[in-house]
Amino acid sequence: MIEYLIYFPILIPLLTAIAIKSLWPIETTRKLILYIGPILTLACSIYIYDKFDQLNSNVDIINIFDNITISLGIEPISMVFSHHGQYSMACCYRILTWLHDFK
Amino acid sequence: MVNTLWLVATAYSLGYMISNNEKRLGNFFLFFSISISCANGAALSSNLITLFIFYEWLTISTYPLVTHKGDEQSKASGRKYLLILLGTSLCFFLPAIGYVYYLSGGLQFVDQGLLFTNLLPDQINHFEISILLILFVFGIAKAAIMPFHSWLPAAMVAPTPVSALLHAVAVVKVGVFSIIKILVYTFGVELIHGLNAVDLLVYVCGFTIIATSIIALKQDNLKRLLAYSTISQLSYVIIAILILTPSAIIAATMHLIAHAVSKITLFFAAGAIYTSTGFTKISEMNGIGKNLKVVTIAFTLGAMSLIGLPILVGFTSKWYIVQSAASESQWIILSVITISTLLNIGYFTPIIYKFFFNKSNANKKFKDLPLTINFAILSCCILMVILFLYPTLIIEVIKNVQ
Repeated sequence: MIEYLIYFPILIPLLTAIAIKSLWPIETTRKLILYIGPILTLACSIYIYDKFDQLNSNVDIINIFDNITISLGIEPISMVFSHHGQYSMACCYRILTWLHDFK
Repeated sequence: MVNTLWLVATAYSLGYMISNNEKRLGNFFLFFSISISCANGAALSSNLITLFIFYEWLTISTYPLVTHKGDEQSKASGRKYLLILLGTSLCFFLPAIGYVYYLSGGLQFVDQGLLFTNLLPDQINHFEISILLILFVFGIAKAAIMPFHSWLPAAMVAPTPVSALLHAVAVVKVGVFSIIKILVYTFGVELIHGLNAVDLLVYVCGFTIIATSIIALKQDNLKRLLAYSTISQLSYVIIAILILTPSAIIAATMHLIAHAVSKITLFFAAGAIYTSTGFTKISEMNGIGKNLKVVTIAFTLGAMSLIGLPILVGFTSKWYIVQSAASESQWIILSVITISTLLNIGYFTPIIYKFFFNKSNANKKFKDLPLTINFAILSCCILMVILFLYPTLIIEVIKNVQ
Protein backbone atom coordinates (compact mmCIF):
# COMPACT_ATOMS: atom_id res chain seq x y z
CA MET A 1 0.00 0.00 0.00
CA ILE A 2 2.79 2.37 0.99
CA GLU A 3 4.24 2.44 -2.55
CA TYR A 4 0.95 3.83 -3.88
CA LEU A 5 1.39 6.91 -1.69
CA ILE A 6 3.65 8.34 -4.37
CA TYR A 7 0.60 8.65 -6.66
CA PHE A 8 -1.28 10.84 -4.20
CA PRO A 9 0.36 14.18 -5.19
CA ILE A 10 -0.90 13.45 -8.72
CA LEU A 11 -4.33 12.15 -7.74
CA ILE A 12 -5.25 14.82 -5.18
CA PRO A 13 -4.99 17.76 -7.66
CA LEU A 14 -6.98 15.67 -10.18
CA LEU A 15 -9.69 15.00 -7.59
CA THR A 16 -9.60 18.70 -6.70
CA ALA A 17 -10.16 19.51 -10.37
CA ILE A 18 -13.15 17.14 -10.55
CA ALA A 19 -14.57 18.61 -7.33
CA ILE A 20 -14.12 22.15 -8.63
CA LYS A 21 -15.95 21.34 -11.84
CA SER A 22 -18.81 19.48 -10.20
CA LEU A 23 -19.29 21.71 -7.13
CA TRP A 24 -18.23 25.09 -8.50
CA PRO A 25 -21.49 27.04 -8.32
CA ILE A 26 -21.90 26.28 -4.63
CA GLU A 27 -20.27 29.29 -2.98
CA THR A 28 -19.64 27.73 0.45
CA THR A 29 -17.78 24.72 -0.89
CA ARG A 30 -15.80 26.69 -3.46
CA LYS A 31 -13.12 28.19 -1.25
CA LEU A 32 -12.97 25.04 0.84
CA ILE A 33 -12.10 22.87 -2.17
CA LEU A 34 -9.66 25.39 -3.59
CA TYR A 35 -7.63 25.43 -0.39
CA ILE A 36 -8.06 21.81 0.72
CA GLY A 37 -6.56 20.46 -2.52
CA PRO A 38 -3.20 22.27 -2.22
CA ILE A 39 -3.00 21.72 1.56
CA LEU A 40 -3.61 17.97 1.22
CA THR A 41 -1.13 17.67 -1.67
CA LEU A 42 1.52 19.57 0.26
CA ALA A 43 0.93 17.51 3.40
CA CYS A 44 1.10 14.32 1.35
CA SER A 45 4.38 15.34 -0.33
CA ILE A 46 5.93 16.18 3.04
CA TYR A 47 4.72 12.85 4.48
CA ILE A 48 6.17 10.92 1.55
CA TYR A 49 9.50 12.70 1.93
CA ASP A 50 9.49 12.07 5.67
CA LYS A 51 8.48 8.43 5.28
CA PHE A 52 11.03 7.45 2.66
CA ASP A 53 13.66 9.97 3.74
CA GLN A 54 14.02 10.89 0.09
CA LEU A 55 11.85 11.87 -2.83
CA ASN A 56 11.42 8.51 -4.54
CA SER A 57 10.50 8.81 -8.17
CA ASN A 58 8.38 5.72 -8.67
CA VAL A 59 5.51 6.88 -10.80
CA ASP A 60 5.26 4.53 -13.76
CA ILE A 61 2.22 5.17 -15.88
CA ILE A 62 3.00 2.30 -18.25
CA ASN A 63 2.83 -0.09 -15.31
CA ILE A 64 -0.65 1.21 -14.50
CA PHE A 65 -1.76 0.84 -18.12
CA ASP A 66 -0.28 -2.68 -18.13
CA ASN A 67 -2.30 -3.62 -15.06
CA ILE A 68 -5.46 -2.26 -16.66
CA THR A 69 -4.90 -3.97 -20.00
CA ILE A 70 -3.99 -7.28 -18.33
CA SER A 71 -7.12 -7.12 -16.18
CA LEU A 72 -9.13 -6.54 -19.36
CA GLY A 73 -7.51 -9.59 -20.90
CA ILE A 74 -5.60 -7.57 -23.51
CA GLU A 75 -1.88 -7.75 -24.22
CA PRO A 76 0.09 -5.39 -21.89
CA ILE A 77 0.64 -2.00 -23.47
CA SER A 78 4.37 -2.12 -22.73
CA MET A 79 4.63 -4.90 -25.34
CA VAL A 80 3.87 -2.24 -27.91
CA PHE A 81 7.30 -0.80 -27.33
CA SER A 82 9.15 -3.99 -28.01
CA HIS A 83 7.10 -6.10 -30.45
CA HIS A 84 4.58 -4.19 -32.49
CA GLY A 85 4.90 -1.40 -34.99
CA GLN A 86 1.42 0.09 -34.86
CA TYR A 87 2.06 2.83 -32.31
CA SER A 88 4.28 5.86 -32.45
CA MET A 89 7.00 4.67 -30.08
CA ALA A 90 7.42 1.45 -31.95
CA CYS A 91 7.43 3.37 -35.24
CA CYS A 92 10.19 5.63 -33.96
CA TYR A 93 12.13 2.59 -32.84
CA ARG A 94 11.80 0.98 -36.28
CA ILE A 95 12.84 4.17 -38.07
CA LEU A 96 15.87 4.63 -35.83
CA THR A 97 16.88 1.00 -36.27
CA TRP A 98 16.63 1.42 -40.03
CA LEU A 99 18.64 4.65 -39.93
CA HIS A 100 21.29 3.01 -37.80
CA ASP A 101 21.58 0.01 -40.13
CA PHE A 102 21.64 2.31 -43.13
CA LYS A 103 24.52 4.29 -41.61
CA MET B 1 8.16 23.53 -4.36
CA VAL B 2 5.26 23.08 -6.80
CA ASN B 3 2.83 22.18 -4.03
CA THR B 4 3.93 24.99 -1.69
CA LEU B 5 3.59 27.59 -4.43
CA TRP B 6 0.27 26.09 -5.58
CA LEU B 7 -1.25 26.98 -2.21
CA VAL B 8 0.02 30.56 -2.41
CA ALA B 9 -0.97 30.86 -6.09
CA THR B 10 -4.50 29.64 -5.30
CA ALA B 11 -4.97 32.36 -2.67
CA TYR B 12 -3.64 34.96 -5.10
CA SER B 13 -5.68 33.69 -8.07
CA LEU B 14 -8.93 33.83 -6.13
CA GLY B 15 -8.35 37.48 -5.20
CA TYR B 16 -7.09 38.44 -8.66
CA MET B 17 -9.79 36.73 -10.72
CA ILE B 18 -12.67 38.08 -8.63
CA SER B 19 -11.20 41.62 -8.44
CA ASN B 20 -10.72 41.78 -12.21
CA ASN B 21 -14.15 40.29 -12.95
CA GLU B 22 -12.60 37.44 -14.91
CA LYS B 23 -15.15 34.98 -16.29
CA ARG B 24 -15.20 31.16 -16.26
CA LEU B 25 -13.57 30.75 -12.86
CA GLY B 26 -14.59 27.09 -12.69
CA ASN B 27 -12.71 26.27 -15.89
CA PHE B 28 -9.73 28.33 -14.76
CA PHE B 29 -9.29 26.47 -11.47
CA LEU B 30 -10.09 23.12 -13.13
CA PHE B 31 -7.16 23.41 -15.55
CA PHE B 32 -5.00 25.04 -12.87
CA SER B 33 -5.38 21.90 -10.69
CA ILE B 34 -4.86 19.52 -13.61
CA SER B 35 -1.64 21.27 -14.57
CA ILE B 36 -0.35 20.92 -10.99
CA SER B 37 -1.18 17.22 -11.14
CA CYS B 38 0.82 16.92 -14.38
CA ALA B 39 3.76 18.85 -12.90
CA ASN B 40 3.81 16.48 -9.92
CA GLY B 41 3.60 13.52 -12.28
CA ALA B 42 6.57 14.74 -14.31
CA ALA B 43 8.60 15.37 -11.15
CA LEU B 44 7.86 11.92 -9.73
CA SER B 45 8.16 9.92 -12.95
CA SER B 46 10.35 6.86 -12.87
CA ASN B 47 11.02 6.55 -16.59
CA LEU B 48 11.24 8.58 -19.76
CA ILE B 49 7.89 7.57 -21.21
CA THR B 50 6.01 8.55 -18.03
CA LEU B 51 7.89 11.85 -18.02
CA PHE B 52 6.96 12.39 -21.67
CA ILE B 53 3.27 11.63 -21.07
CA PHE B 54 3.00 14.07 -18.14
CA TYR B 55 5.05 16.63 -20.09
CA GLU B 56 2.54 16.52 -22.96
CA TRP B 57 -0.50 16.52 -20.67
CA LEU B 58 0.92 19.60 -18.99
CA THR B 59 1.14 21.39 -22.35
CA ILE B 60 -2.44 20.46 -23.20
CA SER B 61 -3.84 21.31 -19.75
CA THR B 62 -2.21 24.75 -19.71
CA TYR B 63 -3.47 25.65 -23.21
CA PRO B 64 -6.98 26.61 -21.94
CA LEU B 65 -5.29 28.79 -19.31
CA VAL B 66 -3.25 30.66 -21.92
CA THR B 67 -6.36 31.25 -24.06
CA HIS B 68 -8.56 32.01 -21.02
CA LYS B 69 -9.50 35.52 -22.18
CA GLY B 70 -10.87 34.05 -25.41
CA ASP B 71 -9.98 37.04 -27.64
CA GLU B 72 -8.12 36.79 -30.94
CA GLN B 73 -4.75 37.70 -29.42
CA SER B 74 -4.92 35.01 -26.76
CA LYS B 75 -6.06 32.42 -29.33
CA ALA B 76 -3.10 33.30 -31.57
CA SER B 77 -0.75 33.05 -28.58
CA GLY B 78 -2.32 29.73 -27.65
CA ARG B 79 -1.70 28.38 -31.14
CA LYS B 80 1.94 29.46 -30.94
CA TYR B 81 2.20 27.90 -27.47
CA LEU B 82 0.87 24.55 -28.69
CA LEU B 83 2.79 24.60 -31.96
CA ILE B 84 6.20 25.18 -30.35
CA LEU B 85 5.75 22.97 -27.30
CA LEU B 86 4.05 20.04 -29.03
CA GLY B 87 6.10 20.46 -32.21
CA THR B 88 9.48 20.29 -30.49
CA SER B 89 8.48 17.44 -28.20
CA LEU B 90 7.12 15.34 -31.07
CA CYS B 91 9.97 16.17 -33.45
CA PHE B 92 12.90 15.96 -31.02
CA PHE B 93 11.90 14.65 -27.57
CA LEU B 94 9.95 11.57 -28.69
CA PRO B 95 12.54 10.37 -31.25
CA ALA B 96 15.23 10.89 -28.60
CA ILE B 97 13.27 8.62 -26.22
CA GLY B 98 13.00 6.03 -28.98
CA TYR B 99 16.73 6.25 -29.59
CA VAL B 100 17.49 5.78 -25.88
CA TYR B 101 15.32 2.66 -25.98
CA TYR B 102 17.14 1.48 -29.07
CA LEU B 103 20.56 2.01 -27.48
CA SER B 104 19.88 0.74 -23.98
CA GLY B 105 16.79 -1.47 -24.21
CA GLY B 106 15.07 0.43 -21.42
CA LEU B 107 13.69 3.79 -20.39
CA GLN B 108 14.04 3.70 -16.60
CA PHE B 109 15.83 6.47 -14.70
CA VAL B 110 18.94 4.90 -13.17
CA ASP B 111 21.10 6.48 -10.45
CA GLN B 112 24.37 6.51 -12.43
CA GLY B 113 22.61 7.13 -15.73
CA LEU B 114 20.81 4.52 -17.85
CA LEU B 115 23.11 4.86 -20.87
CA PHE B 116 26.26 5.04 -18.75
CA THR B 117 25.41 1.79 -16.94
CA ASN B 118 23.91 -0.12 -19.89
CA LEU B 119 26.41 0.66 -22.63
CA LEU B 120 29.76 -1.10 -22.80
CA PRO B 121 32.75 1.20 -23.43
CA ASP B 122 33.07 0.04 -27.06
CA GLN B 123 29.35 0.68 -27.64
CA ILE B 124 29.64 4.34 -26.71
CA ASN B 125 29.61 6.51 -29.81
CA HIS B 126 30.26 10.12 -28.81
CA PHE B 127 28.61 11.45 -31.96
CA GLU B 128 25.39 9.53 -31.24
CA ILE B 129 25.38 10.64 -27.60
CA SER B 130 25.93 14.26 -28.66
CA ILE B 131 23.00 14.15 -31.11
CA LEU B 132 20.84 12.54 -28.44
CA LEU B 133 21.78 15.23 -25.92
CA ILE B 134 20.92 18.02 -28.37
CA LEU B 135 17.61 16.34 -29.26
CA PHE B 136 16.63 16.19 -25.58
CA VAL B 137 17.67 19.74 -24.72
CA PHE B 138 15.89 21.31 -27.72
CA GLY B 139 13.00 18.83 -27.56
CA ILE B 140 12.15 20.07 -24.09
CA ALA B 141 11.11 23.54 -25.26
CA LYS B 142 9.50 24.26 -21.90
CA ALA B 143 13.05 25.16 -20.81
CA ALA B 144 12.79 27.96 -23.41
CA ILE B 145 16.30 27.81 -24.83
CA MET B 146 16.72 29.90 -27.97
CA PRO B 147 15.43 29.47 -30.69
CA PHE B 148 12.40 27.75 -29.07
CA HIS B 149 11.65 30.49 -26.55
CA SER B 150 9.05 32.66 -28.26
CA TRP B 151 6.04 30.79 -26.79
CA LEU B 152 6.88 32.26 -23.39
CA PRO B 153 6.50 36.01 -24.11
CA ALA B 154 3.50 35.17 -26.33
CA ALA B 155 1.80 33.40 -23.43
CA MET B 156 1.83 36.66 -21.46
CA VAL B 157 -1.65 37.49 -22.77
CA ALA B 158 -3.02 35.13 -20.12
CA PRO B 159 -4.22 36.41 -16.70
CA THR B 160 -1.34 37.12 -14.29
CA PRO B 161 -1.91 34.05 -12.05
CA VAL B 162 -1.45 31.94 -15.19
CA SER B 163 1.75 33.77 -16.00
CA ALA B 164 2.92 33.07 -12.46
CA LEU B 165 1.97 29.43 -12.85
CA LEU B 166 3.71 29.17 -16.23
CA HIS B 167 6.87 30.98 -15.16
CA ALA B 168 7.34 29.98 -11.59
CA VAL B 169 5.38 26.92 -10.60
CA ALA B 170 4.60 24.46 -13.32
CA VAL B 171 5.53 24.72 -16.98
CA VAL B 172 9.04 26.11 -17.23
CA LYS B 173 10.16 24.34 -14.08
CA VAL B 174 9.00 21.01 -15.48
CA GLY B 175 11.06 21.78 -18.57
CA VAL B 176 14.28 22.51 -16.73
CA PHE B 177 13.71 19.77 -14.16
CA SER B 178 13.17 17.26 -16.97
CA ILE B 179 16.50 18.26 -18.51
CA ILE B 180 18.25 17.84 -15.13
CA LYS B 181 16.60 14.46 -14.67
CA ILE B 182 17.53 13.24 -18.15
CA LEU B 183 21.14 14.43 -17.93
CA VAL B 184 21.65 12.79 -14.55
CA TYR B 185 19.51 9.65 -14.73
CA THR B 186 19.38 8.84 -18.45
CA PHE B 187 22.83 9.89 -19.67
CA GLY B 188 24.83 9.94 -16.45
CA VAL B 189 27.14 12.86 -15.75
CA GLU B 190 30.29 10.84 -16.54
CA LEU B 191 29.02 9.86 -19.99
CA ILE B 192 28.54 13.41 -21.24
CA HIS B 193 31.63 14.86 -19.60
CA GLY B 194 33.93 16.30 -22.26
CA LEU B 195 31.48 16.02 -25.17
CA ASN B 196 31.62 18.78 -27.79
CA ALA B 197 27.83 19.00 -27.60
CA VAL B 198 28.14 20.15 -23.98
CA ASP B 199 30.37 23.06 -25.06
CA LEU B 200 27.91 23.88 -27.84
CA LEU B 201 25.02 23.93 -25.37
CA VAL B 202 27.00 26.17 -23.01
CA TYR B 203 27.42 28.67 -25.87
CA VAL B 204 23.74 28.45 -26.83
CA CYS B 205 22.63 28.94 -23.20
CA GLY B 206 25.15 31.77 -22.74
CA PHE B 207 23.81 33.47 -25.86
CA THR B 208 20.22 32.94 -24.64
CA ILE B 209 21.05 34.52 -21.27
CA ILE B 210 22.66 37.63 -22.71
CA ALA B 211 20.37 38.09 -25.75
CA THR B 212 17.14 37.81 -23.73
CA SER B 213 18.52 40.13 -21.03
CA ILE B 214 19.25 42.72 -23.74
CA ILE B 215 15.73 42.25 -25.18
CA ALA B 216 14.32 42.68 -21.64
CA LEU B 217 16.07 46.07 -21.39
CA LYS B 218 13.86 47.39 -24.22
CA GLN B 219 10.51 46.14 -22.92
CA ASP B 220 7.84 48.52 -21.72
CA ASN B 221 5.26 45.87 -20.88
CA LEU B 222 6.11 44.61 -17.37
CA LYS B 223 4.93 41.04 -17.92
CA ARG B 224 6.87 40.70 -21.18
CA LEU B 225 9.99 42.00 -19.43
CA LEU B 226 9.52 39.35 -16.74
CA ALA B 227 9.02 36.72 -19.46
CA TYR B 228 12.37 37.55 -21.08
CA SER B 229 13.96 37.58 -17.64
CA THR B 230 12.57 34.07 -17.11
CA ILE B 231 14.08 32.79 -20.35
CA SER B 232 17.43 34.16 -19.22
CA GLN B 233 17.16 32.67 -15.72
CA LEU B 234 16.17 29.23 -17.05
CA SER B 235 19.33 29.13 -19.12
CA TYR B 236 21.24 29.94 -15.92
CA VAL B 237 19.99 26.65 -14.52
CA ILE B 238 20.92 24.68 -17.64
CA ILE B 239 24.35 26.30 -17.94
CA ALA B 240 24.96 25.42 -14.27
CA ILE B 241 24.07 21.75 -14.86
CA LEU B 242 26.44 21.67 -17.81
CA ILE B 243 29.37 22.30 -15.44
CA LEU B 244 28.67 18.62 -14.67
CA THR B 245 29.86 18.39 -11.08
CA PRO B 246 27.74 17.31 -8.08
CA SER B 247 28.03 20.80 -6.54
CA ALA B 248 26.94 22.40 -9.84
CA ILE B 249 23.87 20.16 -10.01
CA ILE B 250 22.97 21.21 -6.46
CA ALA B 251 23.53 24.85 -7.46
CA ALA B 252 21.34 24.45 -10.55
CA THR B 253 18.49 22.86 -8.59
CA MET B 254 18.83 25.54 -5.94
CA HIS B 255 18.59 28.27 -8.58
CA LEU B 256 15.49 26.55 -9.94
CA ILE B 257 13.82 27.00 -6.55
CA ALA B 258 15.25 30.50 -5.97
CA HIS B 259 13.98 31.65 -9.36
CA ALA B 260 10.56 30.10 -8.74
CA VAL B 261 10.04 32.00 -5.48
CA SER B 262 11.53 35.27 -6.76
CA LYS B 263 9.68 35.24 -10.09
CA ILE B 264 6.32 34.34 -8.58
CA THR B 265 6.76 37.36 -6.25
CA LEU B 266 7.47 39.60 -9.26
CA PHE B 267 4.44 38.31 -11.18
CA PHE B 268 2.18 38.61 -8.14
CA ALA B 269 3.36 42.22 -7.76
CA ALA B 270 2.78 42.93 -11.48
CA GLY B 271 -0.73 41.46 -11.20
CA ALA B 272 -1.45 43.46 -8.05
CA ILE B 273 -0.39 46.68 -9.81
CA TYR B 274 -2.75 45.82 -12.69
CA THR B 275 -5.60 45.01 -10.30
CA SER B 276 -5.17 48.25 -8.38
CA THR B 277 -4.37 50.65 -11.22
CA GLY B 278 -4.96 48.88 -14.54
CA PHE B 279 -1.35 49.64 -15.53
CA THR B 280 0.54 47.10 -17.62
CA LYS B 281 3.27 49.37 -19.03
CA ILE B 282 6.32 50.35 -17.03
CA SER B 283 6.14 53.90 -18.41
CA GLU B 284 2.76 54.35 -16.68
CA MET B 285 3.98 53.27 -13.24
CA ASN B 286 5.50 56.55 -12.06
CA GLY B 287 5.35 57.04 -8.29
CA ILE B 288 3.01 54.13 -7.56
CA GLY B 289 5.26 53.15 -4.63
CA LYS B 290 3.57 55.78 -2.46
CA ASN B 291 0.16 54.13 -2.79
CA LEU B 292 1.16 50.49 -3.26
CA LYS B 293 3.89 50.15 -0.64
CA VAL B 294 3.63 46.40 0.03
CA VAL B 295 3.43 45.50 -3.64
CA THR B 296 6.30 47.71 -4.83
CA ILE B 297 8.56 46.67 -1.93
CA ALA B 298 7.80 43.04 -2.75
CA PHE B 299 8.66 43.71 -6.41
CA THR B 300 11.94 45.32 -5.30
CA LEU B 301 12.77 42.30 -3.14
CA GLY B 302 11.99 39.90 -5.99
CA ALA B 303 14.18 41.92 -8.35
CA MET B 304 16.99 42.04 -5.77
CA SER B 305 16.78 38.28 -5.38
CA LEU B 306 17.08 37.71 -9.13
CA ILE B 307 19.99 40.15 -9.34
CA GLY B 308 21.62 38.08 -6.59
CA LEU B 309 21.77 40.44 -3.64
CA PRO B 310 22.19 39.09 -0.10
CA ILE B 311 19.43 38.42 2.42
CA LEU B 312 17.44 36.86 -0.41
CA VAL B 313 17.54 33.33 -1.79
CA GLY B 314 18.73 34.41 -5.26
CA PHE B 315 22.08 35.37 -3.76
CA THR B 316 22.64 31.88 -2.34
CA SER B 317 21.89 30.06 -5.59
CA LYS B 318 23.95 32.47 -7.69
CA TRP B 319 26.81 32.13 -5.22
CA TYR B 320 26.74 28.34 -5.56
CA ILE B 321 26.71 28.56 -9.36
CA VAL B 322 29.63 31.00 -9.40
CA GLN B 323 31.54 28.83 -6.91
CA SER B 324 30.99 25.68 -9.02
CA ALA B 325 31.99 27.47 -12.24
CA ALA B 326 35.13 28.94 -10.65
CA SER B 327 36.23 25.59 -9.17
CA GLU B 328 36.02 24.01 -12.66
CA SER B 329 37.70 27.04 -14.32
CA GLN B 330 34.60 27.66 -16.46
CA TRP B 331 35.49 31.24 -17.34
CA ILE B 332 32.91 31.54 -20.12
CA ILE B 333 30.12 30.66 -17.70
CA LEU B 334 31.50 33.09 -15.12
CA SER B 335 31.66 35.88 -17.72
CA VAL B 336 28.11 35.18 -18.89
CA ILE B 337 26.81 35.29 -15.31
CA THR B 338 28.66 38.55 -14.62
CA ILE B 339 27.39 40.26 -17.78
CA SER B 340 23.88 38.96 -17.16
CA THR B 341 23.90 40.22 -13.57
CA LEU B 342 24.79 43.70 -14.85
CA LEU B 343 21.98 43.46 -17.40
CA ASN B 344 19.58 42.34 -14.61
CA ILE B 345 20.50 45.49 -12.71
CA GLY B 346 20.02 47.41 -15.96
CA TYR B 347 16.42 46.33 -16.53
CA PHE B 348 15.20 46.16 -12.92
CA THR B 349 16.57 49.39 -11.41
CA PRO B 350 14.73 51.81 -13.77
CA ILE B 351 11.44 50.16 -12.75
CA ILE B 352 12.23 50.46 -9.04
CA TYR B 353 13.32 54.08 -9.60
CA LYS B 354 9.99 54.82 -11.32
CA PHE B 355 8.06 53.24 -8.43
CA PHE B 356 9.67 55.28 -5.67
CA PHE B 357 11.30 58.42 -7.10
CA ASN B 358 9.25 59.59 -10.10
CA LYS B 359 6.27 61.90 -9.56
CA SER B 360 2.93 60.17 -9.64
CA ASN B 361 -0.25 61.20 -11.42
CA ALA B 362 -2.27 62.88 -8.63
CA ASN B 363 -5.61 62.14 -10.33
CA LYS B 364 -5.04 58.42 -10.49
CA LYS B 365 -7.33 56.40 -8.22
CA PHE B 366 -6.02 53.20 -6.66
CA LYS B 367 -8.35 50.28 -6.04
CA ASP B 368 -7.92 48.45 -2.72
CA LEU B 369 -6.32 45.05 -3.07
CA PRO B 370 -8.01 41.93 -1.67
CA LEU B 371 -6.45 40.45 1.45
CA THR B 372 -5.55 37.21 -0.38
CA ILE B 373 -3.35 39.09 -2.87
CA ASN B 374 -1.42 40.84 -0.10
CA PHE B 375 -1.17 37.55 1.84
CA ALA B 376 0.27 35.72 -1.19
CA ILE B 377 2.80 38.47 -1.90
CA LEU B 378 3.95 38.67 1.72
CA SER B 379 4.23 34.86 1.96
CA CYS B 380 6.56 34.82 -1.05
CA CYS B 381 8.71 37.61 0.41
CA ILE B 382 9.04 35.72 3.70
CA LEU B 383 9.90 32.54 1.79
CA MET B 384 12.69 34.35 -0.11
CA VAL B 385 14.28 35.45 3.17
CA ILE B 386 13.78 32.10 4.97
CA LEU B 387 15.41 30.18 2.13
CA PHE B 388 18.37 32.58 2.26
CA LEU B 389 18.74 32.15 6.01
CA TYR B 390 18.26 28.36 5.91
CA PRO B 391 19.62 27.14 2.55
CA THR B 392 20.12 23.72 4.14
CA LEU B 393 16.34 23.27 3.87
CA ILE B 394 16.81 23.00 0.10
CA ILE B 395 20.29 21.50 -0.02
CA GLU B 396 19.37 18.52 2.20
CA VAL B 397 16.39 17.68 -0.01
CA ILE B 398 18.46 17.97 -3.20
CA LYS B 399 21.24 15.82 -1.76
CA ASN B 400 18.73 13.13 -0.78
CA VAL B 401 17.29 13.14 -4.29
CA GLN B 402 20.77 12.79 -5.74
